[in-house]
Amino acid sequence: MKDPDRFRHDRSVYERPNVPYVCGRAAVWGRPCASGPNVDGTCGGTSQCTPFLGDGRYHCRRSRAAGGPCPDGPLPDGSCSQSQPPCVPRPSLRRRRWRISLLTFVVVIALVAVLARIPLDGAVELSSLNPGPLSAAHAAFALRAGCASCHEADGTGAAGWLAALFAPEDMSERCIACHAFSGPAERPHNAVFKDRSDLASVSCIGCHTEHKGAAFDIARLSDAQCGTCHRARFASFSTGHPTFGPRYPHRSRTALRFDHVSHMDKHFQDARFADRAPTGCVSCHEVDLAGRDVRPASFEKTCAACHLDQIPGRDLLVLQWPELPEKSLAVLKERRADIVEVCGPLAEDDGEGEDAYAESVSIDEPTRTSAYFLGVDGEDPEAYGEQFVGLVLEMVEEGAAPFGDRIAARTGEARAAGLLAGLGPELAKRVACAWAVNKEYEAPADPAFFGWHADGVALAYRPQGHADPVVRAWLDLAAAGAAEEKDGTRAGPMRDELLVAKDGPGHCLKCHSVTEAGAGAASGGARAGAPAVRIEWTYRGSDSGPYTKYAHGPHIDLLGPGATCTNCHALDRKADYALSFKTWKAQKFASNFKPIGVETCASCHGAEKIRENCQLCHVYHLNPAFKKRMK
Amino acid sequence: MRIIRLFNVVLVVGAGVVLVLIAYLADQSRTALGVPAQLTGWTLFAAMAGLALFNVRKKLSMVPVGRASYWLNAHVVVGLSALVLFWLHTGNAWPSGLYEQALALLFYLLSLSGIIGYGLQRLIPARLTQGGDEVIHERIPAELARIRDDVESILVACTEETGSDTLARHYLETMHWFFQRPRFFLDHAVSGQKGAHFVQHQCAVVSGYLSEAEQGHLARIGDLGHDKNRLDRHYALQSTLKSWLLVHIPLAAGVAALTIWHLVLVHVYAL
Repeated sequence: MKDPDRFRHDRSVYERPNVPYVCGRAAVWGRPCASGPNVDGTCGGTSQCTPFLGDGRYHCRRSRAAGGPCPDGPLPDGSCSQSQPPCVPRPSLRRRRWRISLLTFVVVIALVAVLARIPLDGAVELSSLNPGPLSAAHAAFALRAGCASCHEADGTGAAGWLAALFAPEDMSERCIACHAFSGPAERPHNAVFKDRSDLASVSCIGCHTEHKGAAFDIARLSDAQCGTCHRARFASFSTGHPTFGPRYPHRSRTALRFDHVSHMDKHFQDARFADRAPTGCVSCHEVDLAGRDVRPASFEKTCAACHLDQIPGRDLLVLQWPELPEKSLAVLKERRADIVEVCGPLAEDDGEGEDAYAESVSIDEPTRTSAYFLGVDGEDPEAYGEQFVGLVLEMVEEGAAPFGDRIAARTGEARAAGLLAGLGPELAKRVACAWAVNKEYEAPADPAFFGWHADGVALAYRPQGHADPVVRAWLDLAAAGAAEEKDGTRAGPMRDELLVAKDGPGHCLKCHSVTEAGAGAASGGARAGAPAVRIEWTYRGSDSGPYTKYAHGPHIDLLGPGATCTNCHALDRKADYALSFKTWKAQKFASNFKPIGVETCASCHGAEKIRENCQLCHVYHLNPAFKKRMK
Repeated sequence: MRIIRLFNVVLVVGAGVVLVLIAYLADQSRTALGVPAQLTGWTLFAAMAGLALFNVRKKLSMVPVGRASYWLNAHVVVGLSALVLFWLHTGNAWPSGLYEQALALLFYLLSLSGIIGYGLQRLIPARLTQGGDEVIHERIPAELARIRDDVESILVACTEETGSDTLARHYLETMHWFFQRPRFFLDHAVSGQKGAHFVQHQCAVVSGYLSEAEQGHLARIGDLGHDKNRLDRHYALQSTLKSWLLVHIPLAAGVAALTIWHLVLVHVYAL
């Protein structure tokens, strides 16, 4: 082995590593022949040389490495005399490597092709089309509808795939086929900010990565991602977050007027109410339902103990017999015979006969409410009297129906039904018959405890308690009427009569605030000075902005119910809370509570404390919703 | 030597700078609500294509495109960089989909086989030169046959000269097995001495039964036995040096196939 000359050209054969086969004898550790295998894998060593013809005879050409020309020489036919059986050449290491590599490539491609045809049934995800399990939210419908529910190219075949390769689909379009927002989906935060119109459009997959498994939070964003667009750059919430604003977390006054300061400092301290006074915040606020707000319990549970008796007796005066001009009285006088015939005993007078129409028995003014649905100016006795007498004469014939027809003509059938709910035809006819003979109506018995009743020159409704539907319907009509009426000449006075007056149902508005309906109503044709308003009948949570969220629940669970509300909510005893409700503009207000500042939250949320990432309190999308319903 | 060291330094620093730059740009893209997978993915693809060029370079040895040692070093550095790029691309060590898991598994096995192979290439050549012999892998069968023929010639000569067949029978019963083909593969691969002990032991066993004339033949057979043992060592080490590519390159083919599938899918399905 140490002989350096043993591989000399004339002592050893020339190795050819690029030949894809090796001698079969060498492969079984025998002596390889000098010729070696052929390139095509056949044995090249069945003879030791290929004799050549020269000078008329064959000459041996065996190489010196193989021993030089053999003593026997070529056979007469020119073939080699030193023949041996052929060997079976074996693939070289390089050839075997190539074959294994090719086989691996083909097997992988074949497996991918076969597995691509396995349907995604959710049981065993073997399909080679599946880059990973979907999030739990998407998995349910995607497994039924298949990949095509999000990927247009799925199932389109080779041509579709080829087209998709060069014209990839916009995934965002597929997302918004189901997801809806209050603003443009492609804009940051689904809104066009006046001072940031330069912001580029965003795609859904920029933030939401799918196929990462059911437990993967596809809505998660890092604080750095939020900070990309925001000009206010800060390290973390506890170090540098902009202030919340002077009135956070409120952007408008409360829907229900409840002065915490006066109640807690004055009324609840009064010995007369000691047995009814709440013992703490949780006496009125339902912590079990705590969400963004801890809404108060119902009126019956919280307010009724002290305020229920303030509701009865506040009659809603709908129709009042006014002082009629002579012309209107003359019309009644002319129809007296018909009235007596229809009404019978109901139109009995005191024997005055036609003399009863000498002068109007009522000296009152018409209600603005009746002027609204009669469609006349209540300040014009002639016009009002004509319409009023016409209504009364029809009521004599048909009871409450003409009354309802006139209201329906102004408000629509559905609303009219609610406004006159419970008004029977008999009562309407009795009243009309009395008034038609210019006589005050005398109730056969004491007025009803609640509901429709009449007495003298008035037809009124008495609420049966809190949240009476008829009173509520009339007040809603009064609030909305100005916006619905083009010139507002009738609805405006009616609204003043019903909403402003505190001795009638307007007393409801002591607690239920009246709010301008907003810009939409302002463009709806309301006259100047009479904007559309709505009555806040129910509790409305705080509106701290569309991109902010908060959950009371975890805080209450952590701190303990009730005892520590004042950690964050401190009464502002100097604020003029009542002044906020002297206007219909909800945004002009003073809160009962001092604003909550960053430092309040940062006392618990910060580095090495409770987490403080942006998404803890902020949402990215503007009012996210769904266009489709899951089946 | 100084040039290749300088090349290695430039290579490692360059790869480090590129990786840091890609990681930074990917992070910026992710923060800016972009799609960093496109940057990391195409960079990874470029790195894998560059790694495959090494195999082409070995086949085109006649083309003057730099020394093979430069290419090998570049292959190692780019290969390790590809591992980092893979993590940057996937975002974690183990993806969730079946075919992506298969791709990751093959990629990790490919990287592991490459690291092992590189280690073998650093260790084995040094061990081969320690023996002092040189023989190319393809010639080992011929060398083995020559030694075997020499031994058998000695045995025939011994029998003819001494008229005793003790040594020949001992050869047929014990040492014939040894000279038929390479033996003690694993032992040689881990630098064992079983082969040398075998030859020494068999010679010692028969030595007591031989005449003085036969002892000379036995000594020559013993020398050839040790030659054959060194040949076995070459065979074991060189085979190990070559055989790891039987794993590495087929794995590369599998990774290439799944990479193509991955590229098609992410573009067709806009993932």
